[in-house]
Amino acid sequence: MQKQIALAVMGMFVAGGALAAPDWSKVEPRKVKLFYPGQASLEWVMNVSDHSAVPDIVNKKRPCAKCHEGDANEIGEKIVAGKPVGSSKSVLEPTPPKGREGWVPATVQIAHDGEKIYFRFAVDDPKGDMGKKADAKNEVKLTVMFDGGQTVEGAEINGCWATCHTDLRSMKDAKDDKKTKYIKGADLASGKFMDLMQFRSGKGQKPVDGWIDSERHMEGGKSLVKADGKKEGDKWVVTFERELAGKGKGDHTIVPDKVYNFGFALHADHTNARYHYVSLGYQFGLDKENKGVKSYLNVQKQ
Amino acid sequence: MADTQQTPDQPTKTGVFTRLKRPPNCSMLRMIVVGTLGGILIWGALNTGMEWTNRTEFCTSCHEMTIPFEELKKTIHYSNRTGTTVSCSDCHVAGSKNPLDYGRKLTMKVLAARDVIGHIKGTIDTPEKFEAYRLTMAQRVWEKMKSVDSRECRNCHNFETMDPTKQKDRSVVKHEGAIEDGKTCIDCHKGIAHKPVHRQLEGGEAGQEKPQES
Repeated sequence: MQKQIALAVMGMFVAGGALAAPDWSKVEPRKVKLFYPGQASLEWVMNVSDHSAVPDIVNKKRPCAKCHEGDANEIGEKIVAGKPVGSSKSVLEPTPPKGREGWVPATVQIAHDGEKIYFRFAVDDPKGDMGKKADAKNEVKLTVMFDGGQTVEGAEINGCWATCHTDLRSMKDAKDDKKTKYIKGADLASGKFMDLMQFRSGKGQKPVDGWIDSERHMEGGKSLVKADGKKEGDKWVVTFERELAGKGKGDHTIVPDKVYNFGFALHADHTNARYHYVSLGYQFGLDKENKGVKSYLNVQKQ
Repeated sequence: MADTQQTPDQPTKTGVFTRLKRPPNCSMLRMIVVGTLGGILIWGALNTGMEWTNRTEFCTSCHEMTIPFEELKKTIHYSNRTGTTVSCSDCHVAGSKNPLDYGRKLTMKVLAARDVIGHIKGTIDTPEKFEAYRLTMAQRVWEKMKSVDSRECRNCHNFETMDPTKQKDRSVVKHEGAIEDGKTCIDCHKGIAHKPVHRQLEGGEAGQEKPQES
């Protein structure tokens, strides 16, 4: 009996400090609103006659979340209904989908164990129908993007919006219906790119580990260990397990003492392109406090 | 018989002006009492006149003014949950609570005679003329408001007594920024009481959406 116990204990040590998954009940969830952005491109957001906050963004580096975390739900509701928003009273959804919600509540939890970082997202399934299925295989996709620790200009303010432009497919000034997200002035070698991880709900669909520089790459990364997701009640719960080290192409290495800008989005009901629910820009760092910054998550070691 | 005691400068019949130029034939006390009562009556009449012409009904008795009044009726400054409402003079005359400001308020009232001239000339007496002149009038008002640090607004609204828990995040952030930058209310809140026209300003100076009730 004692020998068995000893073996078991040794086994635990051999398995190492790394857990298969953290005890999520010990990780403080952060409530986030995912809202429907329509055709709100970076160019629209940074045009003062559309969006009166531009002087504050440029001069005071004011992050989106500071003003809009409170009313992201209202903005999403206006956009999805085809109502005008902004100083210019723009309609950012030319074909409003019927009965579609403008936003869904979500929670995000992030933890690490020194070797891997774990993300857990719980997102309400949006009501309403998007019409025809753009992505027949995957009812749901959940995508996370993050930079290399202040390596993408503007990401500390706008999160994923650094990749969203008015000439992408399905956007207002689209010319090419295959043009995917890109970052202006991207440079893979110097870390000016967004790392991308995506869970796909379709049967047999592998998770995606890619990146976005001058275009979107949906493979080539090697740091993502696994991504799981399932519907629990009326929520989609998706977890990612990723090595902290950057192992492949377009993989950032996540280290302490850096603040990483990230955002995430849900494509529900077989949608693609801009028909997702998105988060504003948030930040995370490993075991690092950042008091007073509401949009920052302290990722603690479990 | 004629009174031989009469002095040369006291004739039997005197004109009004001659009598006024002479000292009164009464006690100091009577002078003070009459003077004070007279002063109260005059001041009261002045004030009543001021307030009478400050009434919305008076302003809108000129039909031109019904145009901006109808616009005001659609805004939160006119009708809201609590029934708090403004009159035209709250923003367009806007004396402060400071008693020394009375002189300025009186001057404003006298200068308001220009409005009567405008009415007689028919400067804005049709909706089309009003629209053509709207930006000019608005700019005058904004300049005046800016010159008194939006006293028109601050007579009722105060940064210090704003409850941030009842404002949207972006309003809280914007107001904090306004305090930091030394901005005045009218810098952002153009177009909240009448038809917004500030977007016609050259350079596309962006104004604020109508503040919503929270």
